[in-house]
Amino acid sequence: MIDRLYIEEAVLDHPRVHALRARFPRATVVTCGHYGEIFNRARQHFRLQKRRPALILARKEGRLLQPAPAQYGIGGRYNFYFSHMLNCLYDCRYCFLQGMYRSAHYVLFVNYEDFMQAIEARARRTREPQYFFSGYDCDSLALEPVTGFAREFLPLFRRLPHCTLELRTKSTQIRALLRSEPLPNVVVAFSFTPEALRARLERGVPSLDRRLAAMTKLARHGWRLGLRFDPLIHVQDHARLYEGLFSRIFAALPVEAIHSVSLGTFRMPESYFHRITRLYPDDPFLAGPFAAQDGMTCYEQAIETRLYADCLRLLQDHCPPGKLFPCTMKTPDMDLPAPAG
Amino acid sequence: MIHLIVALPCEARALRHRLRLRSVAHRPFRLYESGTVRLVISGVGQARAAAATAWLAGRSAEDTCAWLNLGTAGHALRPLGEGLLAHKVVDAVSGQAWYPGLAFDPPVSTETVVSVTRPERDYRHGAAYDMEAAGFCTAAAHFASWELIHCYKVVSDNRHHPVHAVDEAQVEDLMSGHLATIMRLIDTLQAIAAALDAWTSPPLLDWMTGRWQFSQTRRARLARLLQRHHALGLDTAALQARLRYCTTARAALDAVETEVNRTARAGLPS
Ligand code: SF4
Repeated sequence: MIDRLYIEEAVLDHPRVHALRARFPRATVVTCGHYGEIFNRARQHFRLQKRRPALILARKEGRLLQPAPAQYGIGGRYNFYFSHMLNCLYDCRYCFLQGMYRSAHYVLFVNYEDFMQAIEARARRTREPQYFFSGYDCDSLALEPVTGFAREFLPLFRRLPHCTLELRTKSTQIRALLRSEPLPNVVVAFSFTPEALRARLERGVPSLDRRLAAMTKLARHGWRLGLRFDPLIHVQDHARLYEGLFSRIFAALPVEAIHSVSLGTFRMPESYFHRITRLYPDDPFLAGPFAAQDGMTCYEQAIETRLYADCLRLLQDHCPPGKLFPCTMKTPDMDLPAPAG
Repeated sequence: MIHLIVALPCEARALRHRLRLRSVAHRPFRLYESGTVRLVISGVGQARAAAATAWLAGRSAEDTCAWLNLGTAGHALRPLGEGLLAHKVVDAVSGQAWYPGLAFDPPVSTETVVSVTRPERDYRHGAAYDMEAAGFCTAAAHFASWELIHCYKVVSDNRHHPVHAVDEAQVEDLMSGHLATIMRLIDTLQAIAAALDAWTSPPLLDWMTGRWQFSQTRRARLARLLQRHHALGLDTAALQARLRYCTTARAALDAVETEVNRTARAGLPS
């Protein structure tokens, strides 16, 4: 799968880099001074790169934890996100990563220990609940067999019971979770669109059946699950499609395993959206009825309001009260798109 | 369209014959052309390679071109006659590096190419040594995305067969031995460039801009509307038939917009 590794010279001797080189012994290794020489320099074509992405191994420097906008939270006051990885194995046409980055290569920051230190330092600052989101710039679990991210970070959160980790994913890579004791402060959040849209909008994403099977295993094992219906997609007959999706999911999962359910409408900074339409001018989703509002691109107001209201109503019929966090409608202070994963 | 930058006539000769390229200019660089291929003889060194690349870009009207630097290189360990595609190009003087984007399966091994100012005799870093690739990359980066910029080098000298022992006839032979691979590479890069063009050039744009006058802003709006029209799977011929009744550019633009918005607002087909 990975046939090229770009490696920052400074991490050539990092144990995680040694392990990854051993995992991909046939991959061509190209060294670089800084991952930015390859990753986000000018004149790259995300769509072409997505045909054959490489893995870039680098060290994350600077601020490792970022405050997450409150409206993406799941009830907590302190919300942070961190990105051990940039970009994703999958290819969702609504994903803001295509507009945020010029490059489709996967960047893996191998200095997990620095992220862990930053999280621990933050955790020590208050005993109040704190929330850490990992699937902002990537899918948290899609490349788990390569990154070992969950495997390595779960022990940290076992030691920090007042901190919650949200793993955001569309994948079925749950082996690391099944091998671990379930942690009450870890939420494995899966995001969904109706199955009829998956093949068209979410290339590479496992089928709903496979994801439900994985979620059922996690629930049986004791893990808490999140359900994310974000972004809601404007599709003909949306009420029927979303009702079908909600009923299948809620019929398959034990209600006590569900930690939180949220839904949100499509929104993206205008500049990202323009960049994506230049990459995929031939894509039907991007040809949709979008409008600009306060620097963000979203569905035209009337469409967005109806879609959101219909889905919220349908979801309320299935979702136990207290678990639904419906507040991801766009607000004037919104300056970031929803987490990618 | 693909642009080939080659330092020496003997490196280009076999390819010129194979592609039946005609001479179309002599100064400041020799230029050959046929169909969708242009080949320029740059002369030796980074400065000449950069100048030839920029000159060729200035003469070209196409929106999307692929760029390929072809030639020979030295390598400490690789055998004579091995073909290599650059995954990294380094200017030996400044240390600056470029990374051509491999959006396809490379037809040969890939390697770092270091561009030096004098023929390399020590072959230190286990890299290929040439004299043009860095100059070519500096210039080509202004005209294309990195997925369309590549350097293909054939090993002409190594520790057992030093550079001073290489003559023109050998170079011509070495390059001839790689014609099939180079042709494949040209096809691949041309297909990528054509795909980019196809993605961005909506049907009817030329017809409409030929029929009515649009300001730059309106032309851009029209182009995106026509892209959306195409993306939504709407009938281009039917639209064209309706547009024939429009008397002004504005009316035509409004007609396209109405049709596109009506379909888009209905939602993606379920
Ligand atoms: S939306 Fe999530 S799963 Fe899809 S490409 Fe983006 S990060 Fe990956």
